[in-house]
Amino acid sequence: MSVLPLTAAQSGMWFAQALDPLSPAQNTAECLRIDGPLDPERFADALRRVADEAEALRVRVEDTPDGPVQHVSEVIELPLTVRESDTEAEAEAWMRADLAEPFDLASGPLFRHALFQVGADRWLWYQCVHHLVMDGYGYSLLVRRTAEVYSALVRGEEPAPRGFGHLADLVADDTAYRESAAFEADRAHWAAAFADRPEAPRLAGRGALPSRTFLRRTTHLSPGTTERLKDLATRLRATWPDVLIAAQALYTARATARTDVVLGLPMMGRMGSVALRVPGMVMNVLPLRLAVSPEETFAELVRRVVLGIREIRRHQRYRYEDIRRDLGLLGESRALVGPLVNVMPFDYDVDFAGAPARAWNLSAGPVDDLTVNVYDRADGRGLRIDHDGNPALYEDSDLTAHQERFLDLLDRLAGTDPQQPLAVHTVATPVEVGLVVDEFNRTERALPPTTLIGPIEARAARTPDATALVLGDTALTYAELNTRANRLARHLQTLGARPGAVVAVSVPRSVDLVVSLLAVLKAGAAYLPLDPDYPARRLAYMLGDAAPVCAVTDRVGRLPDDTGTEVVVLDGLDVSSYAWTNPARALTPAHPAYVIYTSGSTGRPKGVVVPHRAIDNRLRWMQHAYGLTAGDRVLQKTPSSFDVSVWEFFWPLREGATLVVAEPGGHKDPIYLARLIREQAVTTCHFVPSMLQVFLGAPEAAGCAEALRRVFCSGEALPRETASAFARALPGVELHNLYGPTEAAVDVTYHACDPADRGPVPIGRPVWNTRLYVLDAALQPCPPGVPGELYLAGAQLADGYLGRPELTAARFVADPFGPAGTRMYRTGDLARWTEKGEVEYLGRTDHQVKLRGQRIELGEVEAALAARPGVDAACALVHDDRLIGYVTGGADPAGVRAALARELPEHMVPAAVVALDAFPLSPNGKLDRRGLPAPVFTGGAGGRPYASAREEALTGLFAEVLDVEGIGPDDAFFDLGGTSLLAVRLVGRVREEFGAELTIGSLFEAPTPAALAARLDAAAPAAGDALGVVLPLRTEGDRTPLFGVHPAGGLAWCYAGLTARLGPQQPVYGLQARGLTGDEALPRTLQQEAEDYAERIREIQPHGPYRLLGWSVGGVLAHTVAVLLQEAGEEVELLALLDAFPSEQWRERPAPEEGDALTAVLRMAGFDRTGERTREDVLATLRRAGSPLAGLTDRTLSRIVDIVPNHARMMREHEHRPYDGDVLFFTAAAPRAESWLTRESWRPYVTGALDNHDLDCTHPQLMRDRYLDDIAAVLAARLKELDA
Amino acid sequence: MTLTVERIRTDVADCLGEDPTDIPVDENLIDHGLDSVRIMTLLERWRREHAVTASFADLAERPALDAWASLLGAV
Amino acid sequence: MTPDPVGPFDPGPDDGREGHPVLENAEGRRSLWPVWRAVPSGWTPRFGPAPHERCVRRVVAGLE
Repeated sequence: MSVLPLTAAQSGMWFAQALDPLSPAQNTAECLRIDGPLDPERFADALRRVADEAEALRVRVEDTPDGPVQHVSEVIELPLTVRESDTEAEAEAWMRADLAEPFDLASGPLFRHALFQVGADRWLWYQCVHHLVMDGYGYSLLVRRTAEVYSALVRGEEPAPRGFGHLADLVADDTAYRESAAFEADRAHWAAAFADRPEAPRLAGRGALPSRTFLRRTTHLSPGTTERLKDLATRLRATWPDVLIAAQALYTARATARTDVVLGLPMMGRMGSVALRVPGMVMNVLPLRLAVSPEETFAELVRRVVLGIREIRRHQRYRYEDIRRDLGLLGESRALVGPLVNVMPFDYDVDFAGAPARAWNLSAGPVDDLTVNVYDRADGRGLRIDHDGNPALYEDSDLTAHQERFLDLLDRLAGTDPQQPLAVHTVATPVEVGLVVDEFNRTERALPPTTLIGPIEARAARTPDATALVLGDTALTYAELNTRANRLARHLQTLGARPGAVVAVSVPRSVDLVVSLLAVLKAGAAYLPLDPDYPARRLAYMLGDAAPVCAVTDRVGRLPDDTGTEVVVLDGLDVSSYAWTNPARALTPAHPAYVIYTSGSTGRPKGVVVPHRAIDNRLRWMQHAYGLTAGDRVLQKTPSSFDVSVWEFFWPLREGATLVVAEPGGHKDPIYLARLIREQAVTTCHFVPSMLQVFLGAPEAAGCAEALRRVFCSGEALPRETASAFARALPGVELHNLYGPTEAAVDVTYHACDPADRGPVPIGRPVWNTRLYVLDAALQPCPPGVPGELYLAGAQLADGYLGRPELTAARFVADPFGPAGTRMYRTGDLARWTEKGEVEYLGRTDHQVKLRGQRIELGEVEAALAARPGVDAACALVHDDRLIGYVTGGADPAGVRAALARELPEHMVPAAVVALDAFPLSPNGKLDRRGLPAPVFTGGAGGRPYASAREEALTGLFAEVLDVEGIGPDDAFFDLGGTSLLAVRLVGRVREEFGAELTIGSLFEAPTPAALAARLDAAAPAAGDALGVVLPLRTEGDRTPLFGVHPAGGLAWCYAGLTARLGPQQPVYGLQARGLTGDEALPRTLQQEAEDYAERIREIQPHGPYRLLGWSVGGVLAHTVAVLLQEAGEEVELLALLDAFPSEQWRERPAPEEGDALTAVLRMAGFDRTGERTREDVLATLRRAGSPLAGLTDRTLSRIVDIVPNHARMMREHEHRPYDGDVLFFTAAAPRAESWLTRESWRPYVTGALDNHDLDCTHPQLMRDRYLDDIAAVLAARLKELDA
Repeated sequence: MTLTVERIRTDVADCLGEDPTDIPVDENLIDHGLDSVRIMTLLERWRREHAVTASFADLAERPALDAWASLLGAV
Repeated sequence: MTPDPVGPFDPGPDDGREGHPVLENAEGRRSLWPVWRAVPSGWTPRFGPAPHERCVRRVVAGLE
């Protein structure tokens, strides 16, 4: 008995078996049918002699302290079963059962024989060997030798000595190789060839660990096709395996939507080696990497296969396991190769004493993913092809489909000129093509040629007294709404509104918004919705780009005034002289109905022009599918700039139902929405899935089940968990998943969710007159289950992009499958058909992302980042549902982020901007996105003790919701990566923990645990310090404190957001008006008030230098305090005035009355007064918006209503004295009613410079998040200079 | 029919897609692109047409024209 | 910085390959098209094949 170490190849198998000792996965087996007489005794004798000759068969493997070793026994008992009366089927069943029996490596023997007589002259010889000791070529040596020995014995001769080589030689060879220079060279070769770790192309779309068994589908390529393939191979100077591998590469590339595929090629690995004569385990699997592109020909692909195999053969001794280990690609999720193509051309041309034999494989070893085994047995039956699949990844039907398509493809390749581009080939079978192109798309439906607006007018005429619209206490009948819209429409017509023209509408959600949209359509024009919340710069861009004939707004100053667009201001507009009847217009279904802007990848948003016929088709289908009735009430909550709003607005008005309009801002507040749905008996509404999830998380949502009939989801993928949560929370309410881009009139697919369904929620089937194509890289249809890019065709396509013919020509392209001359729109979405004819959404093919349903081109964000001074290069991505920007260069990341907030809509502003020295690059020099560091959102507060238990608890909730460690009480929610969605979650948690009704807006106002705690304290009856004269916003920190003086209402809470942005080392104190709580008298003069504050400041900081800041009236007070301190001999090193103007600017203006005080209260909270008439109205608005002021007691609120006019009076009486030094000034630069206000009037009272910074906002908006970013950036820079 | 050296050379050249005169007599044919599939193809052809009895391993062990000629008894 | 995807209608590597014709239908709508795919019925090649960038410029400028 000899003892040998294992070869590298064997070691891998030993470990795999040790991991799962009872697994039969590494059993290999084959069967030979021998047709003729056979002598079982002599056959057994032959087997015994061959076992004596083949050392590998006598091996058992023992684990020792130094690792596993193989013992080669001198003699073994032959494991042979002989059965002489089985049918072929019984024999095969026996074999299958035997194959499922694992070997015990330690005891051996590691092989088993069986011989079956299944007919008079028909025998089956079964052999099963553990892969650790035998490979496919080894089998052929054993079979050949057994036939030779048996034949000699039958002839009565002693078999010619034909010695097998020794196992020791294999081991020695292996050892020598692993110590050679060639080994190192091979390692380097493979490491370089796969340095970029290409993703393995997996036909199942995912990976799994190998199972204990495998599934197999067997077929034969017809002899005719086999011959033609061989001829083709000869013509291409290749072999038939080369052609088969090329075909598999083509199939795999198309079936996995990849252009770069890596196949695994099992190689026998014996050429030119001692192993040629050693039955044993030598084979290796090598990765063959091939680029497959539609323009290339099959001849070129085959050539590259030939060259590629020649190349890998030079390095074929390096083990596959070692390549994977070197690359870190072990385990189920990190495969190196896709399908294996296992060609076994082994020498099986044998006979047993003249009886011919035919062999076939029963098991070729473990199947990681999919293995295509191909045998050429030269038996006239053509090539035999086995598709072996890992049952964890494939079902029988999957294997069958892959096999049928592969054979069909081989057949077509064999019959096609190999010089044709690969684009002529599809991987779908003809039957599948008919299914996905025609059958699944039978949606033709003849419709009358109508417009979006026509049916609405017809409805108004039919049911004039029905309720068309409800908003709060306001309700309009169809007749009233129609009349108002008609009058405005006639007015717009005088300004040039007509079919083909565009009219912009920038009105917050309101009755006026609905009237305006209808009016534009009635005038025949297309409406262009402009979200009033968008930054002025973006609004200006859209106005310039779309060149509307006019723009409708609710009030002056809503739109930038330098765009040259004629503005129609509804506030104060009298259209009563216009006729109330429907205006005449020459409108056709081909005219544009609306223009909606979407993010553009090159950095400019693009306007999608949707014609009437497209949206009319969409709404007619929707009515057919869901049958809205006059009793239905449809919620309008989607911003008009998002195309879902189109059906919300107009579907109910076409069908006689009622439109229930949500308050502005209400769409983000689940509690408000739940109440609205309940109180207004809303039957139909829409949610973006992420918002639906938030909504369902609110306990109030369950109360909506009674009213609601149906909920629509669209805008992003609907997770099954959300659909299931919906079914639990709102049983009996229908949930419909819709899908579509703005470019195809809102939605083009639909799917009704069934609570019993599992797995991904499909986006569903095409709507009327719509065709869906899932196409591969060659624009050929993908069969069901195969991912490809989704293309849309039919009636709902947009005209294209306004003024962008090149973009239009590249996205709306010729349709090769539809009627002649039609177009299809390529969505950039990755999708696949199900067998049932529904589509599943899989992701994006490009860099467009969806965040909370909003479409964002990362390219646009990157362009905006890169345009900032000091940014060399930029990149953006979404990480954990947060948009992150990366920049190189010297720019300050916080400043870059603040700058973006001025240009981009809120949803496109990165949650964080990360500065890098350089971008990580992959070995081929491309940006390695996986190498970008995840942004680290960490708290910065460190050790400040908690001021209260509530503060501590809130800090814990922040950490939980944000999933960030080390948060301190002064860390701001949004600086830690908080999003509005996470904000909703936090608010929910606060409600659970404290029973406190906080709203999302409150987080924007009080973004730190400390500030939030202060707010909750204030909301409680015993409002403590939060209403004191000194509001300690942050007491910790080693810098000189900053003192912020309150605006007109007397509260300094507004500086909490600023505090959070100035960092943990900057102490901040607010100064608040006396009289907010007790019965203290209000001050009589500003001077008196300022003296009071100066004393309070000196209690905290006895001596200068001082740092002061104030917004609005607070600025006037801060200036006065600064003067007082200077007059007392102290130094004031910072005076920052936030949109504050000196007394003489106000002196001649009338002071506000109590009603104006309510306006002032609203403005303190950052709102303009709209319909609020009473204190109660004001409170309601504040609560809804989550304003901190909403938490105040009625008593405090009453005091504020007194404090505001008192300040107005004192302001007008105050006399300024000069301040010695510079002033840092922030101007709310949006147009304002008080156009006479100018900071220049400070000049007499400031000896130094006025360093002004303009912000794109109104006075009340100044303390909003977006602008605070800017203010804080400037302020922080100044404070840093002062500290230096 | 007996296998000749010229027949071997012509068949090998055919199978490698090269001109027979470019096939050297004493060099390792692996370096010229010969692989197991091609050896099997040649072996099957020679078994069929020339009653060759050699095995794959015999040919693959020393893949060169001169070695094959003596192995196969070619003249 | 984000690398562009390479689909049938994307610019791809700037290798000067004349990969795209510009097609036009009876309504005067234009479509970029890959040179390796047969022209769909109802469409006529009006420009190219040319590199992507030239097709884009040509569509912006107008085909006439």
